[in-house]
Amino acid sequence: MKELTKPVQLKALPPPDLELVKKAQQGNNQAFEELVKRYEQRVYNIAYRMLSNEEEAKDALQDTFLRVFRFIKKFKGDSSFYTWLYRITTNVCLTRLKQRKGKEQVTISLDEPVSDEDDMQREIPDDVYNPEILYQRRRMANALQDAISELPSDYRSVVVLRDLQGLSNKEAGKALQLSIAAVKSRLHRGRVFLRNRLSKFLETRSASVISRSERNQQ
Amino acid sequence: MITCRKFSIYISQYIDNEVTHEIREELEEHIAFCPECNKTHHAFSRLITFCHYCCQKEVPDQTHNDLWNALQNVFSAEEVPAQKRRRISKRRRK
Repeated sequence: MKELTKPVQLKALPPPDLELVKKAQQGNNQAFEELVKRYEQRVYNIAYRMLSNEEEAKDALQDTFLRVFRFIKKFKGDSSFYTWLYRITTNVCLTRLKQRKGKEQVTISLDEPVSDEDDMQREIPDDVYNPEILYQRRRMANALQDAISELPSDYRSVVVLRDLQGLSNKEAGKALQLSIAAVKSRLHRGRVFLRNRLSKFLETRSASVISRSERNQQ
Repeated sequence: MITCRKFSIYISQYIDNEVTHEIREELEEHIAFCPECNKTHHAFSRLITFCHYCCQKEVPDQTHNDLWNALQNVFSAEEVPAQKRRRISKRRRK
């Protein structure tokens, strides 16, 4: 006799972005909060990678969502909500970078020992590897962020959206209002820049650390 | 025939799987015989893997709380004029 199995309880799918956007456009603040919950971390990550500074990333995060709230009625749904949101995020960050111009920019040479700051520990998920590997990854993460902060802003926004946030060329193009050819070209130049800056890490002992993470991802 | 210069132009598209089958084959043949481009290929792949790997940074609690407070302020600021508008329109009706 067959065992009776419990009926499978289907979880309700979360409402699509556009449904929440429509509600938010009608003044439903709960719907807007849901959108914020959904994208808060991604927006924060874009801002942090673009600005390389936690305090500024925090301000950019707030600026972005306050602008989204103010202008959400103007969103017509021609693109997906998140490409529109990322466009606002990158614009907020680029404006901040322009304002920063003229102020002294501190760059850290890759030859110098990288500081082992507490906040960078959060970048690397906890794992069970030995301290040496963790230390190497932290150094690499620091160096990567330093190299990103030296990228020209046009390349930086493309690299952040494509390689760090995983958008497609088309999505990044929509978010940045660039053609796909321009996205590809800037991405390539940005990668070449990063590769040259990080060659010591990518071609020497740190490579084994990355290779291990490659294997773990598979 | 793929040269090192051509390889350096195609490397990003190759890694992103955006080249035609024919070009892919030519590039792979080139990588197999050119140690310098082989090194470049590995460096690019590692760079992109690492970008994916270390991309997510948690939102600090304080940053999250500050954002929610800012949003609540904006929500309540929006409600006040709306209430005022309702009161005015009621008075007009009277």
